Amino acid sequence: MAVSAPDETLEVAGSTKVKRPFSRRRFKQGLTGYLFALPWLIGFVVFTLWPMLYSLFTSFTRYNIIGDPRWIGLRNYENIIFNDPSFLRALENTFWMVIVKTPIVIVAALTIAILLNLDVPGARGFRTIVYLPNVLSGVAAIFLWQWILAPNGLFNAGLDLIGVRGPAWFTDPAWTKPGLVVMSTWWIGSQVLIYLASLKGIPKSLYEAAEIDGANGWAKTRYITLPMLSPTTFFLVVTSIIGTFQIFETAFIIAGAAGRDVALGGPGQSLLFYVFYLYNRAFGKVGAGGLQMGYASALAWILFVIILIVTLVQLWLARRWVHYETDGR
Amino acid sequence: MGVTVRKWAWRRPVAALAAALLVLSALPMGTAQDGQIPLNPEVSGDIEFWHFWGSPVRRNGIRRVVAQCQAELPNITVTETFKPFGDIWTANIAAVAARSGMPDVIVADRLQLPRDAADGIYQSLGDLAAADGVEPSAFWDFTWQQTLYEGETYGLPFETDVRVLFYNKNVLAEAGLDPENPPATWEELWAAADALDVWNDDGTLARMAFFPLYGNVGADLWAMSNGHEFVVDGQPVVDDPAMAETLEWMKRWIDRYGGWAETQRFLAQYGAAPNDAFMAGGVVMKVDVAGYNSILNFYRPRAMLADGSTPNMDWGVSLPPHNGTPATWSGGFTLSIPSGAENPEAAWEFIKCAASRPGQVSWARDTYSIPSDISAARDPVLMADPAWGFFIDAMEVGVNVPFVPEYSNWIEQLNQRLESVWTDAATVEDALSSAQQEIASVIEQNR
Amino acid sequence: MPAPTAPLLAPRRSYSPFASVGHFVAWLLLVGIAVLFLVPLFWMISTALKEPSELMRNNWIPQRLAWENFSYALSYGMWFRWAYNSVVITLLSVVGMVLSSAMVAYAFARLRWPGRDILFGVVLATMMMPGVVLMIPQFIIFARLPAFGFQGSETWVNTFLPLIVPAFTGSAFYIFLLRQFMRGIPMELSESAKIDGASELRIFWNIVMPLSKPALATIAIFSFQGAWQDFMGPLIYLQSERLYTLQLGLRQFEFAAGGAPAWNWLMAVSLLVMLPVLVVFLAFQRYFIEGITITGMGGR
Repeated sequence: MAVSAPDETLEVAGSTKVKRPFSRRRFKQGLTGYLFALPWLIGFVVFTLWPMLYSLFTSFTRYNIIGDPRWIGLRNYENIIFNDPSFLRALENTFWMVIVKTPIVIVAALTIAILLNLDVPGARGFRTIVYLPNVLSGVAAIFLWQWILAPNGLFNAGLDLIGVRGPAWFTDPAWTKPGLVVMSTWWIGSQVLIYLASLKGIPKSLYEAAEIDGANGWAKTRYITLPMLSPTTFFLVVTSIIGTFQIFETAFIIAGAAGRDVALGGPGQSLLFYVFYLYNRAFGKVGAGGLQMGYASALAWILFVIILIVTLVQLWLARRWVHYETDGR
Repeated sequence: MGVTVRKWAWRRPVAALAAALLVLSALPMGTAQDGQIPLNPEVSGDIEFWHFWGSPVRRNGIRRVVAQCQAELPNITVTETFKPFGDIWTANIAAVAARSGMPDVIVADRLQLPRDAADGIYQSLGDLAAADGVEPSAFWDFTWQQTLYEGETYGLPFETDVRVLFYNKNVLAEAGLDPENPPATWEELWAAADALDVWNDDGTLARMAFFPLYGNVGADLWAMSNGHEFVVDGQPVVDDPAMAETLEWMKRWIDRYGGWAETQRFLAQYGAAPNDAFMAGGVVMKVDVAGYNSILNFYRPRAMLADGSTPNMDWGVSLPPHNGTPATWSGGFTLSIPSGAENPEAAWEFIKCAASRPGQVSWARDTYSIPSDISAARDPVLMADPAWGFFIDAMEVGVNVPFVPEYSNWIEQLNQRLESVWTDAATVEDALSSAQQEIASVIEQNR
Repeated sequence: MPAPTAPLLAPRRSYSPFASVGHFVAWLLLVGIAVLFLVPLFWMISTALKEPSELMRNNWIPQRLAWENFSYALSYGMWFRWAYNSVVITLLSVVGMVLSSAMVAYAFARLRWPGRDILFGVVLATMMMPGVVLMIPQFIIFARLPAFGFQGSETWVNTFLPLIVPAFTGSAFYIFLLRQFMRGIPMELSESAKIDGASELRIFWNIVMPLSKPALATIAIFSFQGAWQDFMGPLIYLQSERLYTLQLGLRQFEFAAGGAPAWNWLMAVSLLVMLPVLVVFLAFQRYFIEGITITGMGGR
C-alpha cells in the first residue's frame, strides 16, 4: 500500500497550488493546518530527520558516545564490506530466512484463507483461532517455542511418534533457522485474514462466468483466484521481506538461552541476523568492544540500501506477475 | 611440572559445616586485622549494586555480604540488583554512555576490564586505593594485574575461580573403578567411559560417563591442558596442532554418544539444580568451577545407581583430566565503579568492605568461589573443608590468559565456530584457520 | 496443496451443514489446523501447572495441578512493579499514539494548508524507513537530552520518556490509515458545523473523532499490542531494575534458576504476561479482525 498510495494522493495535490494574495483568513487556515500537524512535524524533525543525518555522519566516524567522534572517512564501510565475515554471515542468515520463510508463510496463509472462505460451519471460530497466536507474541511466546522445540520437547516427541528422530533445533547450527520457520508458521493469522478479505472481494460473477465455460475448481483457482489475489500477495511478500530483515528479539532470546553469550549469534553464528548483528555492534560486545556506534550506523545504512534495492527489485518483478484489475479491463 | 596433584575425597563435610557455623557466629567484623582495608563508617549515601548472581545459592551469598557491609557501614544503603550475565555489562556501558542509570558498584569481568577502562567505562580507583593503603600483594598476583590499566587499578578483585573435575564416587565404585583415583589423563578418561556408559535397549543413551562440554568448561580449558598456548608474544593463537588435536578429541566424545543432536537430546532431559545431569545421575564426571561444590552441598543429591538404590551421593574432586601438563584456568571478577556513578565515596566504602577479608570469606563460604584475597582464601573457616584445600592447590596449575588490548574478546572467534565443528558443518582445520584469520583482521583494524 | 475441489461459492443446501463432500474435507482440514494452532497454548498452560518431575515426560495433563508454580514464580522479582511499569508505558503510548495520529491525519485529510501534499509525501516516505536505521542515532540523542532528574535520571535514557514521548508524535503508518478513513467522512458535516460557528478543534473532537471510532479502535489495539510486547526499546533504554517492563522481567527471570530455566515457572509467568493482551483480544476481537483487513497489518 505504501507502493500504490503516492499516485492516488498526489492527484489531490494540484487543487491547492493556485496562488492567491495574502489574506488573514488564509493565513489562519494555514496556521490551523500546521498546528494540527505539529506533533508529526516535531516528531519528524527530532526523531527522524535529525537522527538520519546524525546517523549518516556517525557512520563515517569511530564513536563510542563516551569520547568524541573521530572522522575516519569510508573506513567503516570498507571494513564491513571487504573485511567482516560476520557481516556476510548475517546477510547469509537473513537472506536464508527471507527465501525460505516467505514462500512457506504465503502458501500456508493462502491455503488456510481459501479453506476459511468456503464458509464451512464454524468458519468464524476457525478464523479467531487462526488469528489468536498473533496476539500471543513477545518474549513469553519465544520461551514457549523454545520449550516446544527443546531437543526432547513436544515437537520432537511428536516426530518420534511418526518414527522420525528430531534434531536438536536451537543448539544445532543447521536447525536453528528451520526452527524459526516452524515458529513463524504459528503467526500467519494476519496474512490469512488479509487474504481472506481479498478473497471476499473477488466478484462472484467471475466464477459464474467461468463455470459456464466449464472450468473446474483448480482452473478457477489458477486462472481467477490467484491472479485476482496477486496484488495482495505482492503486498504480503514485500511486508514479509521487510519484516524478516528486521528480526531481532527472537534471535536475541534464543541465542542467549542457557546463559550463552548473545554476542556469538547463536550456535555457529546461525542466528546472527542483520539487526541482531547491528545491535551487538552497537550495544553488545563484539570485536573491539562496546558501543561501536560508527560501525553500527554504517551497518544500518547498508541495510537501508539493501532493503531499498530488494523493494525496487520486487516492484520491477511485480510488473510481470502482479495483476491489477485496471490492467485487465 | 613438579606440581603435586592431591586428590581429595570426602563425605559431606559435616565437620566443615559445624566449624563454619561456629566461626560465623564469632566472625570479627569491623576491627582492623590482617587483610582488612580500613573502612570509614561516616560516609553516607544510597548505592545501587549490580551483580549477575541470580541462582538461589549465589543470590543468598551476595545478600549476606551486602548485609554484613550494611552493618559495617550504617550510613550507606545498598540496593543489590541481579542482571543476567552478559546483559549486565551491555546495560552498564549503555548507561555510562548516556550518563544515566549506571549502578554505583558493578561486578566487572576482569578479562574485559582494561579494555573497558580504556574506553572510559570505569573510574580509576588508583588514588582511593593508595589513600586507604590497599596492599596489592594481598591479592593473587594475576587477579591484581588484570585490574590494571596504565598502571592504575580499576577495581578490587572480588573473587576468582578454578575449574576441576567433579565425579560421582558411588557410580565409579559400582562400575568397578577406584573411587579414589578418577581418570587423570585423556586416555584414562576414555577408558573409564567404557565402564561407565550405559545404553538402553533401543540404542539410546542412559548414562553418560563424561562430556567435554557439559559443565562450566569449553574448548579453551581442554586446549590448555593439551599444552596449547593461547597468547604467544602478545598475539592470540588458535590455529596450531595442539588446538586442532583438542577439537578432534572433543569431537570424538560427541561421536561416541551418537553425534551432536543425540548429546543435546540426552542432556536436555535434565534441568536446573537439583535436577541437573550430574546430580540426577545422567553424567558421571564433569568439569566445573569450584563454586559447583556449594550447589552440591546445598542440594545434597542422592546418587542413582544401576541396582536402583539411591545412597547419598558421594562426590570427589580432582584436576581436570589432561594430556600432558595438568591445567585449569581461572577467570574472575572485580568490584568496580562505573564512570559517572553518583556516589563514588559510598561505593568505594562498600567495595572495600565486600572485597576485604571478611566479605570474601563470607562469599566463599556460601558459594565456593575462590577469594582473590590470598589470606581469605586460606582462612581456617574455609580450610576446614578438605575439598577447599584441594581447590586452593589447584590454583597452582591455573593458567591465566594474557590480555590482548587490540582485541580483548578474541576468544569469541573460536567460540562462534565450535558448533559448526560439532555438527560436521565445518572441519577443524577450516574453523581454526578462519578464526585465526579473523582475529588477525580485527587486530589489524584496531591498531 | 488442498485445492478446493468444490465450487468456491456454491449455495448452501438446506439439510446438511456441508454444501458438498469438498466442504466436509475442508472442514476436517480446518479442524486439524485449529488443533495445531491451539496445541502450543494448551502446552503452555499444561506446563505451567506441572511439577518439576513431570516436565520431561511430555504428558498432556499434569497429574496434580501445581498452582503453587504461579505464586513461586511471582515471589521472585518485582513482578508487580514491572506490571505497573508496563501498564503506564503502554497506556501513555497508546493515548499519545491515537491522539497525535488522529490530529495529524485530520490536518492531512480535512484541512488545507500550504505544503500539505509535499509533507504527506514525506509521511509516506518515512513509512518505508526501517526502524533500525534510527535506533542508534535516537539512542545517542536520548542519551543527550536532559531529563532534569525525572525518574532519578540526568538524561532521557533510563526513564520511560524514550518509550512514551515518540508516541506523541504519531506514527506515519497510522497517520496514513486515519487520513484515508477521515477522507471518507463527508465534508458537508464540517462545513455546516463551521457555519454554526464551531472551531476547527471542536469539529475535530466532536464530529470527526466520533465518526472515526472504528479506525481509532484499530490503531489503539495495535499500538497497545506493540507497546506491551516491545522488547528492544526497553532493552536499550531501561537499565534500572525498578524501571523494567514485564518483557525485560521475563528475560531476567529466565536466568533466575541458574543453569537451565525452570520451564514450569517460566511458562506460569509467561502466561500471566500474555493475559492482558489475550483479554483485550477476546473483548475487542471484532476490531482486531476488522483492523487487520483494513490496515493489512498484524501485531507481528
